[in-house]
Amino acid sequence: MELSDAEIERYSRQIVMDEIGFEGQQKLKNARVTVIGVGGLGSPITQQLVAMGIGTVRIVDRDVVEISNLHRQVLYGDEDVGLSKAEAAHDRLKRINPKVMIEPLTLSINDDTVDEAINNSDVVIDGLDSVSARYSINRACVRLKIPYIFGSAIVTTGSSTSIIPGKTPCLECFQPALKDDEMPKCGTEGVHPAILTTVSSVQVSEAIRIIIGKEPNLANKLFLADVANLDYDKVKIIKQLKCNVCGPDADLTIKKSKRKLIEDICGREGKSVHIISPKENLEINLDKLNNILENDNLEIIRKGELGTTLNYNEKITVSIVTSGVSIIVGALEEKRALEIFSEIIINKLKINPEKVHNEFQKLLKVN
Amino acid sequence: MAEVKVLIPAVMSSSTNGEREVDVNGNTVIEVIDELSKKYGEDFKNKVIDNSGNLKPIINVYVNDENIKFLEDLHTKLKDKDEILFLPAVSGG
Ligand SMILES: [Zn+2]
Repeated sequence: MELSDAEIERYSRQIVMDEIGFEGQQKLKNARVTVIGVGGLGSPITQQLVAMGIGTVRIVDRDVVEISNLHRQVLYGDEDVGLSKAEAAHDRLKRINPKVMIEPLTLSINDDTVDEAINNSDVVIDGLDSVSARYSINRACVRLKIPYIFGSAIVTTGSSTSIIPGKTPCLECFQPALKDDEMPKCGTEGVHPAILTTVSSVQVSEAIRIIIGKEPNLANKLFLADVANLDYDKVKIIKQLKCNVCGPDADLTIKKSKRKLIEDICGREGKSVHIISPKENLEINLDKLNNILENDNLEIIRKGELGTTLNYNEKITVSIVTSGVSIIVGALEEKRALEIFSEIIINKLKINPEKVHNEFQKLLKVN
Repeated sequence: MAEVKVLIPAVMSSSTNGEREVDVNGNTVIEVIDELSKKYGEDFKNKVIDNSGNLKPIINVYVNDENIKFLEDLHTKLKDKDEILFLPAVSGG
């Protein structure tokens, strides 16, 4: 598709630069970029991509906006608390640039869902906060041969690299064998908004170079930066022959099934938070859900297009997004969180429990 | 003793007085780490080794571009002129 006169004016300050140019701008218009996670990194990433005129930006996030997100997740304001991030981000990004197609998805990323999240993308950009989801993205991007711009940040330190399947080291070449429960968490360690904008800007400039057909600056190099002292450099990284994702003996047909039905995320505003991620996209009909909840006199505190948040009782709030991912805040144990999920999703909405987990009923009893 | 070159990324160099390339002696990776902490103090060792004496999961060490997780970990043997790179894994986002 050609650029219109209005678009030429809108993007004139980047069209005039050699780094992008007229042809480059056309390539941006015809590109589809997927940003996985619209939190601390994904907020400034999507803001820039959308303002710059990428044709289609797909945003994938299972989470709901919370008050403790607002200091760094610049897409959201107070009025978005309780809304699905995919939805709040969609609405904000549409205001920044209505011409850009935004594709919001409320999926939780794991080996079962990752293909749906990234298919048909020209580039995938990392705005995630968990190691296992990053490994799923990395494996899928290597398998589907989609460039993957890795980025991460915690406290004042951040890193990024451009993973080009078949050419550069992949994530498991330079950061293998990490486990989420061994990693420092933003909830307890904190994160400086300035390292997020630093890393996200690096990721965007790399993605733009790849779309335009230029060599990325971070192929075979890991950008590492610390805003506490402004130490930064690019460290050489090398493909590992024994890598089980991109090495010669790798078998990418094996699913590692790292998906956990229920995760206990500590440290969120002092309350326990459980996230339940169904095996399949449950494609929840929110109108139906809201009707049922209202008939049962449950208080809905936030109704959105992609999710609903309700007060289950005085202590427990539940957010359900269209994919069926449910975030339960205030349940003291996993068992209680699973019971509430089961009551709403399985009993009230009559969804087949096998779509949630092959042995859901059994888990419900054991837990 | 093997004479090896250690490469430290900028974000870890506060533990090595800002030095980014250091020549040290050691026959294994753990010996090199001990040498570095003799030279620069315990801060370096505390950054890379956990309480049980294992390499911290968030630290990757490369000997001539090969991750020691795929070799003999901290006991990977070294020879003259080997290059040892310490690389922190950053999580979160
Ligand atoms: Zn690899």
